[in-house]
Amino acid sequence: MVSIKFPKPDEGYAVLVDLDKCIGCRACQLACKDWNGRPAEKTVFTGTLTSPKSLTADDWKVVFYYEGATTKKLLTPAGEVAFSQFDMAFLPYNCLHCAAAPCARACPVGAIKVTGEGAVVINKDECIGCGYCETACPYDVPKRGSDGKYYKCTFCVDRIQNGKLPACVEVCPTNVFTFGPAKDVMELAKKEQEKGRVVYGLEASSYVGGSVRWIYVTSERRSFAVKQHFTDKTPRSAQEIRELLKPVTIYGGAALAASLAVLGLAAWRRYRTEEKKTKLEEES
Amino acid sequence: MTVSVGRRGFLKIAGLASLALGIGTEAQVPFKSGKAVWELGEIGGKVDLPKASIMPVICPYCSVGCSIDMYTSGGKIIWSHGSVDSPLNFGALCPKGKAAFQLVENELRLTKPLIRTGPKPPPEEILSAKSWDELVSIIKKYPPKWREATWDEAFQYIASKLATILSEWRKATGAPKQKDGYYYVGKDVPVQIIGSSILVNEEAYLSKKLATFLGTSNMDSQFRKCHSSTVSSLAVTYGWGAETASNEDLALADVVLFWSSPAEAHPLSFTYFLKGKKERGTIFITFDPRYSRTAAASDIWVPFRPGTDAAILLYFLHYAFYEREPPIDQLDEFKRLRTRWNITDDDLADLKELLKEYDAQTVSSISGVPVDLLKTVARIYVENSGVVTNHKKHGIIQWAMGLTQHTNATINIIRAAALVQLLLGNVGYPGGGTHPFRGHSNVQGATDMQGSGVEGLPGYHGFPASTFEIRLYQDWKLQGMPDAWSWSVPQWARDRFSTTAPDLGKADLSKVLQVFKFYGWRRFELAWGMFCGTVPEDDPVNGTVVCDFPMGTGTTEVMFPRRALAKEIRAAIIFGENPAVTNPNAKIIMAGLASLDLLVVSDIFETETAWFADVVLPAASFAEKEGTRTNGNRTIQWTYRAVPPKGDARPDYWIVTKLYQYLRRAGAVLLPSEAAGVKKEDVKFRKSGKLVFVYERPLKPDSSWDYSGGLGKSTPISPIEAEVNPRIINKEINFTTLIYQGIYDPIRDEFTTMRRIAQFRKPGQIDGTFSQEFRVYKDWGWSWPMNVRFLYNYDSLKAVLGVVDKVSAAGKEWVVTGETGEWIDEVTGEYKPAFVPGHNYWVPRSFKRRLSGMADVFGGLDIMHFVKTGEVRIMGKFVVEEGGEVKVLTYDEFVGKTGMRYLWVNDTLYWDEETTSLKAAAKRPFFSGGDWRSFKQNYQKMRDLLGQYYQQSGSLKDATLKVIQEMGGWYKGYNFQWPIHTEPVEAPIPELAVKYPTLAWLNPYNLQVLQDQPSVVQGKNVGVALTPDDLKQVPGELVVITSNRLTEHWHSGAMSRNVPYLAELVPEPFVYVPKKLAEKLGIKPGDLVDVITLRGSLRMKAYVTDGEAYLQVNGSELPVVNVIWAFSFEGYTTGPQGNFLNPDVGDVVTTIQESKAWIGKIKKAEAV
Repeated sequence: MVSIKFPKPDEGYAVLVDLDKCIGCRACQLACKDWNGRPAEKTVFTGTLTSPKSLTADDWKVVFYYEGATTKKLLTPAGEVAFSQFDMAFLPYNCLHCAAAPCARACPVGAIKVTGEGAVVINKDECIGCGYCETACPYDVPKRGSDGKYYKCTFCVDRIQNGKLPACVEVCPTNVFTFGPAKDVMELAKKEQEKGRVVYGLEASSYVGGSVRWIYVTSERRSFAVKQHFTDKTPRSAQEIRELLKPVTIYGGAALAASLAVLGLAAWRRYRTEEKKTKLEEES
Repeated sequence: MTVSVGRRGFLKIAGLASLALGIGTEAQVPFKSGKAVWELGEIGGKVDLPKASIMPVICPYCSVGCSIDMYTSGGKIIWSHGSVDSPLNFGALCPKGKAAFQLVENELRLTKPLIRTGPKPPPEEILSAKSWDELVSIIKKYPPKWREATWDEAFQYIASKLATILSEWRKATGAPKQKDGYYYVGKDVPVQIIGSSILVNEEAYLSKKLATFLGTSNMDSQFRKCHSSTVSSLAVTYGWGAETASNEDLALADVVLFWSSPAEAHPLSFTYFLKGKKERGTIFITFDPRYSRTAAASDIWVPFRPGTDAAILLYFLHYAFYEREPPIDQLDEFKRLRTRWNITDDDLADLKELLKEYDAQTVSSISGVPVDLLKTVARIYVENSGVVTNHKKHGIIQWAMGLTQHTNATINIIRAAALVQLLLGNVGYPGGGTHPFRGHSNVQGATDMQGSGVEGLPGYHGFPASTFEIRLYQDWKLQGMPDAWSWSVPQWARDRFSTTAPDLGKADLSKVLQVFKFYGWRRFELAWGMFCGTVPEDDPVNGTVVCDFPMGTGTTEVMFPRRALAKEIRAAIIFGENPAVTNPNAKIIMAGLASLDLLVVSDIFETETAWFADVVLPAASFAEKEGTRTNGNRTIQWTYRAVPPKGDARPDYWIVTKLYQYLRRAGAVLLPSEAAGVKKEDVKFRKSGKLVFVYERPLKPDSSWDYSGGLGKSTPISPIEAEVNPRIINKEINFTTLIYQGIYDPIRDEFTTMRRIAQFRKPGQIDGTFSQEFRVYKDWGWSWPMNVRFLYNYDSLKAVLGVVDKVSAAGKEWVVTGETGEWIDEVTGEYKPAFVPGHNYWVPRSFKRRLSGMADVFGGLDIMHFVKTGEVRIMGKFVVEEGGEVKVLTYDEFVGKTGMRYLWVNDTLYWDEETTSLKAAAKRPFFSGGDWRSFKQNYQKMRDLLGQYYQQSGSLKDATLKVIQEMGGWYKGYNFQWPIHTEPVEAPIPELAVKYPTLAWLNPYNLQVLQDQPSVVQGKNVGVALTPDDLKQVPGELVVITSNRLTEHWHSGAMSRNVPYLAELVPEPFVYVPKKLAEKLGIKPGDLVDVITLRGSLRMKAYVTDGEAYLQVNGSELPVVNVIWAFSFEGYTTGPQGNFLNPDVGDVVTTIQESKAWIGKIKKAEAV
């Protein structure tokens, strides 16, 4: 039994993801695959550009496409004009590297490392494929590979530890990602927030440690992408976990906690799988 | 440990578990802490990285020209990233650039020459297919059944087949002997050469050279189908068909009108666009029926009906002249610039008369853009223009295929864009100009190297159009290769050659353009060891015409398939291009390819085109060869070889050169000069009424194909390059192609395109102030012409910054007002400003030459010898007059007198105020005819007649043919100086089709399509539906159909569908369906739909979105659908081919296909 030491949220590194700069090209998605030696997946078109439709063991970063209607304000020679138009926004997505990553806490074998840089890394060689990390993750990140092990973004730990930017940050044609010391990035995010831009990740739930290391910022115009992304899918499970955990935080019993956590999550995961199955059956 | 608990049990345990998941910065986990540090590349298996060697390779995809650092180890690429030092991509890449390494390391690569053993699909069967699926099943019945071969075997096979085809043809026609001389009529030679905009310049150049040696002008490339209309329209308006400024300049715009989707097709250009937005609040407006990723980055999205671009652009001018106060023609800056545009009061009145009818209401009902929106965007654009703001602000018009691929692109659409920019004072000033973004990494270069394909020699020196022109050329040679100002049009030619300045001492545009042509011919005669002129040389009027350059223009890629079906073209050699997918009307192109007696394809993958081939040659990929690529802004960069070619694959420069040698040995090549028995040229000048013998030039055509070896900086980089060395070819281009002169510095033995200095120049240096103030990287690569980055930048230093720049160079002080470019001085050998005071319309075409009347080009330098050895051997002599006496001097004697030691480097060309002050051609650039006001009545008559006959017969086709017959032609009397709106061939609203008749029928090729020619296509449904009446029998909802591609796929898809990473992102094509239409038809996202045109039906999945135009046009609802076109039946991922749906009608000037506005029906697919 050892302890994981999470660096303080403002220690280590963080990334500011500016959606207003993103042109949805997906170079980041491929750079990630390329650097990490992940093979191409066979996909099919399902009615959206998002491909594959979620993160996978071979796609640790996926750009999500969202549609909405927004009001665009524009200063013209004849004064300000406001347009209400259809809009589309792009959200490059990968592990957010939570300040106190639930996945790392859930891993029964300690295969998920948290480095001084703040990178939350599944060490492939130690992973036993139990899936607790996937269950614990409120953001739908860790995914099971064909070898039975779990995979996700490593924050390009082997790059940032060697003085290089993460591959997706380096490749981006429009500088969507600002990588830097967490303190600076968080400050930058706060400033953007003060300017009236929408920020996600600076004040996340306490379940993930209060903040994450990949922080999104967007103008009001494209904020629908953040809203849809983080309310539609992931927070549902996050919420569930949080609620399940709430009443029992008062109990002590640290010694048994870890193994019980494993048990509990395994059970919860199984329940979720069954629930999904039933739902599918009902639908068909 | 197995756990089995129910929901209740789970809750209990989960409760306890929370302790472990308690919030905190520390948590207890079992076992060891293990790993905390990773080595670079450890996770993805790239541990060899520290040992890897790095080579900068220019990206093969779009035209931005990004540089990719390839990390190689053991002959393989193990990692790649954008070159950090490149000011085009500064370390970044788009997904295609990122995945480009998979073009090299790919299991599907061709590694051996292949010879077909299976039968080809019969053309008739192909033509009869009713749907895409049916077509695929027909084609798949006839697989090629390849047999692997050696290079020798493959070359022998091709050479013997082609020699047979050509000998038969020569025997039957007597060519190259003609009744008035010896030459090939280029279009009659039954061979088509195609490709490619993906080749490096050195390869594209050789492909043109090969075509020329075969005597064919049936030579074309992808540029035909991308930007031929851009080139033709801009070139006649401004002087050059190129994008006017560099990528850096995009950041200086105040408004950008996006007429394509660069966020998708040219992602790295967005770096500069967004820089402008950040620094100066640039307003982005996207015109697109589809909500593209560029629209998503824009401030305003303007969905409109495809094919109505000209109407919208004309409204911009209508606003400027009629709605704004005061009208722009009352502004001082407009008045100042008018003289440079060549617009008289009369012209202006004419233009305004035309613009009057394009008011907001009219244009709205044509285009489907609401009046308010139209007014807003026009106001934004005009108010931010150069003439209105006195060059404080400028706007850019950016476009790609959305504007170019229309039957009226050259004359209406792009011409309108060119005029909007010109008249708003946006051309030649920072943050302005026209930005037609090219699609291929070397499409600009291939166009340059192939002289627009069918039209001429490298560098746009057009082919001879008649024997008259060759006689005139011979006379020009006798005058001592004079510049336009020193050229006197001979008396015998004056009634046939139209010029306002026939005499010595003066020049006009006609003379300038004619001399530019002659000058090019001369360079190629010398470098290729050929002959063109008369025999004897001193009798241009009565001598026999003998010319090794093909006569006349040839068959474009779009026209080629129907000529192949008619058996007029029997063989084709295609380099790195996939017309089976990129050509319009899939059945026509596939049937055309299948009907050839010999099809040779050189490519890196087995493409759809290769499916129809007799021989497939394995080509080297972009990272396995070296040479230069010219990006979309004319910046030429050297691309290095990172790894050796896979298997037996070879670079195309090697393939073309070897192929020539085999063809020559087999007797496929017979030059007209050989048929005429001409072995040498006696170079003579007329001087003071006397004929002076200058020197004898032996013809050595075969020696010009010896590209082996190489010395100094041209030392071959590998055994392959020792056989065919692209560096020698590059040096040859420097000496043959005027606009590329400067890619090699012969004095310093430097390939200037290898320069990688990402710094601004400093004041005092040539273009130092320009570079620094407008933030242009002048020492990154080299740009044509003469390292000019910013075309027509004549006075922007003065007009924008209020400064005049002084430059000391080559021992003189130069005062300049714009970007001048640089040029080696013939006396000092140093660089000096080229175009003084700045670059303007028509330079460098409008050059002056100090050696006019005195010496052959480059003084008669043995170009072939120099490019191979670096040794200066002057074969020519110098004819001077001294005290009324004519003397013939040697080079040394001449240099002794004049000091022009480096005349063999620059041929003593120079540009002064006279040469730089030629005006833009804002009027009458095309055909003869009256002005707008006198044409207007004819126009009305034509529309009335068309309407009348259409009502009578109910068939627009019949009505059209009747009007042509009755009026003696189509659009009779229209001279195309001013653009108008004309409908696409396939018009959704008959009322508009009659009111704005299509221009298409001006071109005889289009009439062939209309009338189902040649006979083999009759009754095959490969024609056009002129109105919805022609689709009455087809079920479904009427839609306007247009096509597009996406970030992730590229053209035919051969280079993206075969790249697994890209295929993952977009695995199959789809069709954008407006949500409103989808709801009406019960179509859900991802459902299969049938899209049906007159050519047949195609089944694709639907992308249902509100981001697709659903318009009100002429009072009725009209939905638009967008089809993704980059797919077909071969490769890693496949899908229905968008170009199955479109017709093969083309632009009336260039025949670029109508890929953007068709009509058809859509319906939900019935379950299979």
